[in-house]
Amino acid sequence: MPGVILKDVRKSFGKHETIHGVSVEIGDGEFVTLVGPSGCGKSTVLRMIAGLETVTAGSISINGKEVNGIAPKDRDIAMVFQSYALYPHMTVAENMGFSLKMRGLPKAEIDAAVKKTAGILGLEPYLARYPKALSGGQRQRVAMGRAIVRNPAVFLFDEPLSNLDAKLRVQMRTEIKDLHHRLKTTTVYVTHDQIEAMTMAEKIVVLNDGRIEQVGTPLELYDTPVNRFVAGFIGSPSMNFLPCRRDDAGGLTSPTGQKLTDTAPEGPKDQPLILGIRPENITLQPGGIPCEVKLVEPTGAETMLSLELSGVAVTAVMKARVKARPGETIHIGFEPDSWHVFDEDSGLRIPTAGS
Amino acid sequence: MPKSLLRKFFAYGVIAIALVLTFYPVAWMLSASLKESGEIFTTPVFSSGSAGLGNYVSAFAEYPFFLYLLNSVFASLVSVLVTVLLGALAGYSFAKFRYGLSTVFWIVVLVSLMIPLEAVVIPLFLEVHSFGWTNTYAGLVLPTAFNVVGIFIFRQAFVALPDDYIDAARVDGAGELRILFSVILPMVLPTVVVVSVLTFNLNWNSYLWPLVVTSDDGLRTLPLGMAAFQAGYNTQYGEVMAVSVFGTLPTAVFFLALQRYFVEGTISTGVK
Ligand SMILES: Nc1ncnc2c1ncn2[C@@H]1O[C@H](COP(=O)(O)OP(=O)(O)OP(=O)(O)O)[C@@H](O)[C@H]1O
Ligand SMILES: [Mg+2]
Repeated sequence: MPGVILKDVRKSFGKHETIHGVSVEIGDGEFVTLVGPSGCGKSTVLRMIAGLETVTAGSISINGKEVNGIAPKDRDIAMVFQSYALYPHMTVAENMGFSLKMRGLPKAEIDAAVKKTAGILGLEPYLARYPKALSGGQRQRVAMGRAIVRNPAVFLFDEPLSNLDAKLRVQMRTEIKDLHHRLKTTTVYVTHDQIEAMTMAEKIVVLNDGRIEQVGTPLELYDTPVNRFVAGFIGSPSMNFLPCRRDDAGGLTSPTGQKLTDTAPEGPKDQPLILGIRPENITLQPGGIPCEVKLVEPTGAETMLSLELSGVAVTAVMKARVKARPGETIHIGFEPDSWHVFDEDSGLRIPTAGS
Repeated sequence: MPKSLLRKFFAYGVIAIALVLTFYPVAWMLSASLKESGEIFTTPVFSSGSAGLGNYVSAFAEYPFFLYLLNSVFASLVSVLVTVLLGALAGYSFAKFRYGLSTVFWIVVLVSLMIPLEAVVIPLFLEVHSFGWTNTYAGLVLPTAFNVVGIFIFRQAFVALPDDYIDAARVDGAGELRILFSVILPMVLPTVVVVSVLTFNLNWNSYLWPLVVTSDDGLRTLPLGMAAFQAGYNTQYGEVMAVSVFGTLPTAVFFLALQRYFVEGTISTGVK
C-alpha cells in the first residue's frame, strides 16, 4: 500500500492560486525529495501533507486514508523544520519527549524511548541541556530526534540542513540517508539544493511555480529531463543551452553559422531549437568547435572553463588539466549521445536517436 | 576630556537627576513617617525623628489597615490573574489567527482602550448593582479586573514569535490551549511579568471603582482607607506618611522581585 498519495492537490492563498494541481504517489518506505527554486511551493506542499495548511482542492491520503480534514496530530507524521523550532524552555530530553507526553504515554516509557533515540543520534551527553547550549549541528540532531522518537508513518523534512555549514551538511546528508536505511520510514524531504536532492533521494519530484515538472529517479532526471527547466535545474554546474536550427546536412547549427552537431532529431527546419549540453560532457577536440576562453578555474581534480561559443557563455568541466589561458581559442566537442535538443517555444525535450 | 568620557559623564548626570527626583519624595515620606508632627517641617529632611514607629502604631490602632491591605492584595492579584489569562488567550488569537470578524474584534479592543473608567462608571455601577454585587468582593474585584492593555502587550509578543514553534507543537500533538500555556507562554515570561506588574500597579492604585461600589468598611482597599484616614486626621502628617509607606511597600516588593524580568520585558516588548 502506498505511503502518501497526492491527487490533483491545489492551494490558494486568498484569490491567488500557488499550487496548481499536484499529483504524486510516494511509496511506503520511499525516500522522496521535493526540489525546486525558491518560492515554487515546496514548503506549501509539505505543510499540506502535514496538515498545517488546508487543501483548497484535491485530496491527500496517508497509508490509504484520506487526511484532508484531519488535524496534524492525527496524521501520524513528524516534521523537521528548517528553523528546528526546538522549544527553548525545555531540555533536549523534554523536547524529544514532548510528543509522547502529548499522547499520554507513561513517564517511564517516554524516558526509554527518548534514551533509545538519543543513542541512535549520539545525543546522550546532551539530554539535560537546553537548546541554547547546543551547537547548530546538535540542534539539528535534536530536531531529528524529536521526529524519530515518535516512530511515525511519515517523516517530513523542510530544508533541514540549510542552516549548517557545508561540511556538516554533507555529513548530515549521509547520516539522514543512513537513518532511512535503518528505519525505512516513508520520507518527504524538501530542499532547493539539487545536489542534496540527487544524493539522497530514491525518487525526485521537481516542482516549479506550483506545478510538477517531472518525477523520476536521480539518474532519470539527469539523463532524460523532460524539458529545459528540469535539464537546467538538475546537475551542477548547470547544463549549457545553445540556440540553434537544423541545417541542410541534417545536423544543428548556431545562428552565427557555427556547426554544432552532425545529427539532429527529425522536424521542420525553421523550428527554433535549443541544444543542451552538460559541462561535464564537453571535451577538448582538435578541429572541433572554436571557443574563446574567458576564465580557467582549476580545482585540482578537474578544471572548470568559462568559454564563449558564438557569443553564448558556456561552462565546461574537464577531467584533464587544461593549459589554456584567458583570451585564447580552444576547440571543443560533445561526447556522443550526451546532448539534448529542446523546442525553444515549449521548452520540451525532443528525443534524439540516442535517448 | 575625551568624548566618550564626556558622554558617560553626561549620561550619569541625567541618571543622577532622575534618581533624586524619583527618590526624594520617597525619602521624605519615609523620614516624615518616623517624626512627630511638630518635627516634620522644622527639622531637616534627613534627620532622624523622635517618633520611632509610634506613627505606625497609632495609625493602625485607628483604622484596620491590615484588612485594607489584604483587600487590595486580593483585588490586585485576581486582576493580575484574570488579565494574564484572558490577555494571553485574546493576544494569541489576535496574533496568530485570521477569521471573518477578527478585524472587527480588534477594532473593538482598540476602542475600548480609549474609554476611560470615568465615562462608564455610572452604567457599570447600575449593571453591577442589578447583579446584586454592590458591597461584595465580586463587585469590588471582577468588573475592573481585566486590563485591556494586556491583550495588546501579549499580541505584540506573540506576533514576534515564529510560527514554526506553534506548527511544531501542533505536529507534536498539542491542542491550541496546550500550545498557548505549555509552549508559547513560557517563551514570553518577561512579557507575562510586564503585564503582571502593570496590572498590579494599576489595580493597586485604583480609587474610583472601589469608592463607587463599596460602602462597607470591611471591603475598603488601601487607597480608600488612606483617603478616609487623611480626611479624618489631616493634620497628623506623621501618621498619614506612615500609612503611605505601608501602602507603597507591597508594589515596591512586587516590582523588585520581578525587576530583572521587567527590564528584559520592557526592552523586548517595547512597552513601558
Ligand atoms: N501563508 C501564506 N499566505 C500567502 N502566500 C503564501 C503563504 N505561504 C506561502 N505563500 C506563497 O506561496 C508561494 C510558495 O511558497 P513556499 O513557502 O511553499 O515556497 P518554497 O518553495 O518553500 O520556497 P523556499 O525555497 O524559499 O522555502 C510563495 O509565492 C509564497 O509567497
Ligand atoms: Mg520553503
